[in-house]
Amino acid sequence: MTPLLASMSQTAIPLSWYLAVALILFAIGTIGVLTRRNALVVLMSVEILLNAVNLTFLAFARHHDNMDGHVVTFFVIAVAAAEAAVGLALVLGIFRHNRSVNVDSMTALRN
Amino acid sequence: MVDDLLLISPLLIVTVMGLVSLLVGVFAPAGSFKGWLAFLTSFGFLAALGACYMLWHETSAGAAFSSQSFHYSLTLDHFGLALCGVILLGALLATLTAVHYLPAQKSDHAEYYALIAFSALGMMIMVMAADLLTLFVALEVMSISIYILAGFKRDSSFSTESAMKYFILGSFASAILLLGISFTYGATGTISMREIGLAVAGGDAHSELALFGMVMLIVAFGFKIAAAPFHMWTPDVYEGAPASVTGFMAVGVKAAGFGALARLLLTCFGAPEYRDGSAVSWETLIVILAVISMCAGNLMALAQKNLKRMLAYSAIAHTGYLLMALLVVPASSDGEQALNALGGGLVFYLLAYTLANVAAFGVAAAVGARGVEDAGEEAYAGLAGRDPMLAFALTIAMLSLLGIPLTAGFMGKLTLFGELLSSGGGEYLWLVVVAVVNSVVSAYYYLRVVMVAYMQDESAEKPIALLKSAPLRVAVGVAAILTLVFGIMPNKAINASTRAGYSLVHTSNPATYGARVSAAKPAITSTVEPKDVAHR
Repeated sequence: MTPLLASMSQTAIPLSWYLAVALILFAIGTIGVLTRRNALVVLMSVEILLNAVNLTFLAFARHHDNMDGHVVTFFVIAVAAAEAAVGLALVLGIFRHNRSVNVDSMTALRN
Repeated sequence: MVDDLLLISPLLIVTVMGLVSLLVGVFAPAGSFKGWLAFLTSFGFLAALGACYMLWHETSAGAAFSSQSFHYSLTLDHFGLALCGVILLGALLATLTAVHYLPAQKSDHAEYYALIAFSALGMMIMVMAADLLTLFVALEVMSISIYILAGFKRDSSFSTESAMKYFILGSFASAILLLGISFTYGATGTISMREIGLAVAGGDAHSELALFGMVMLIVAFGFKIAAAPFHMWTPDVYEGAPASVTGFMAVGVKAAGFGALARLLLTCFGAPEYRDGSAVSWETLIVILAVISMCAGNLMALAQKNLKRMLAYSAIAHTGYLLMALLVVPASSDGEQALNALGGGLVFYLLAYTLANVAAFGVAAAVGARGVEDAGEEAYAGLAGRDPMLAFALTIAMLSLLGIPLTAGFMGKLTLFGELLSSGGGEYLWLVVVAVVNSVVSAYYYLRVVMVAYMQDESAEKPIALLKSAPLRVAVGVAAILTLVFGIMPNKAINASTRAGYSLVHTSNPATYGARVSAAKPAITSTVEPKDVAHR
């Protein structure tokens, strides 16, 4: 570690701040998934959730000074891309049937 | 290196089959019959089953990979192999039900078989995963394939909608799982399950972070295995997805989820304080989930008119019974004996559940293939007259799910409840009573299906044509016969699943496994400092 980096890490923002930001982001994403009616906005909220988790992984990786968290983050980014691809395709499928991407319009299955 | 490839041969076979199906799909002319791919994929599943069988005899309890090939991300033990076998059996039979079902639904695409293979691959890796990253990626491979399969009938709003609902809740659950992994990692500084277990047991872990991570992991798995109160997606998805997919989804996801959950909890949070000690123990959470799942699933199943929807609620109830198997372990003082019990209860019950559900959903596929998508009870009226064999298979499936003697489901319940009673010194007597009462209640909706099939007459105005499909009949017949075989002669299967549980003793107990492996190979002792990992 170079002296510059060492001095930076001494004055670095403490771990709990990163975790607080991540948990706030996670809460925002959760509220988005649960309350928003537009399927596309729900997909965006899921992305916020995943990025909130990425932030915690990076903060913990930095805290523990090992690479596991960084590696996980890369995998999460890749998986999020795959999920988004499937999610957008499903939104298109829903739109072809309902002419709407409102999740409230999905009422075919209900008893 | 080559030896290690042999050790993962079931995974390789399934991967290759998936890729082959995908390639064939590109070159096969559009609109041609793709059912023959089902036989190819089934052959792959059979070969993988054979490979699992070979490996079962090759490995002593908890064999490790011989080099650093997979960076200790997989555990090869009898527990994983047994669950791989259950998953492959489910995949094999569910694939055969699709051969003529998909053309009848006008969605005969080669990708179907590739996606079945890939999701089976994800499930198999899930039950073998030895670190949390592998677990997450495997779970996503499984989930994303299943999302697509649930929406496979693209011109049906039912199917598309069920896929969308599953996708939204599933990806939410994945995010919660990741949060759990992240905080467990934060508490211990490692993503290897064994090292997490050592850190937690040794008191090196930050206990609040670890506890938060554990709760989040249980919640996320609760979504995947359809435990109440995280079951909201289950009825809609089971009803809307094509019947052949639902059959696979019901059995595969459950087996994989329970396998991964058992390994995760026992390996990472096996320390007494997370079981029955001072902190919130996972035992408590599992008891709560089990009771809510059993009661909610059974009560809501009573009102269902649609077989697929009824089976969805029955799946929730069975999640409740299966969760009880996880409790057998901590309740006993003798670790090895207790883990025997876990294997006998969990793996054998999953096997019985798999066979019964494959048969039931196979019949649902045959009945619902032409025209009627959300076939209610009336579609099954007079089934005994129209097709005695399917009606008989449906009866056996229902009796097995209910737990009537001479079926595998009875032996499963008997083993599971008996072991829970004997291992806890009567601590869980009340839970077993709740489960038995629930089983009695479930007789109402299981037997009603049988009654409709045998007693009622076919509706005259709109008779429903059954799907004529030899592979489907073979799959349903094999599932029904195996249900009877395992119900009448369960000894071999119970012994095998007991052995599976026994191997989980070694691979999940950080003390014994870590010590045994480190004696042979010093490079992967659990005392690797975080600094060393960073520099490697």
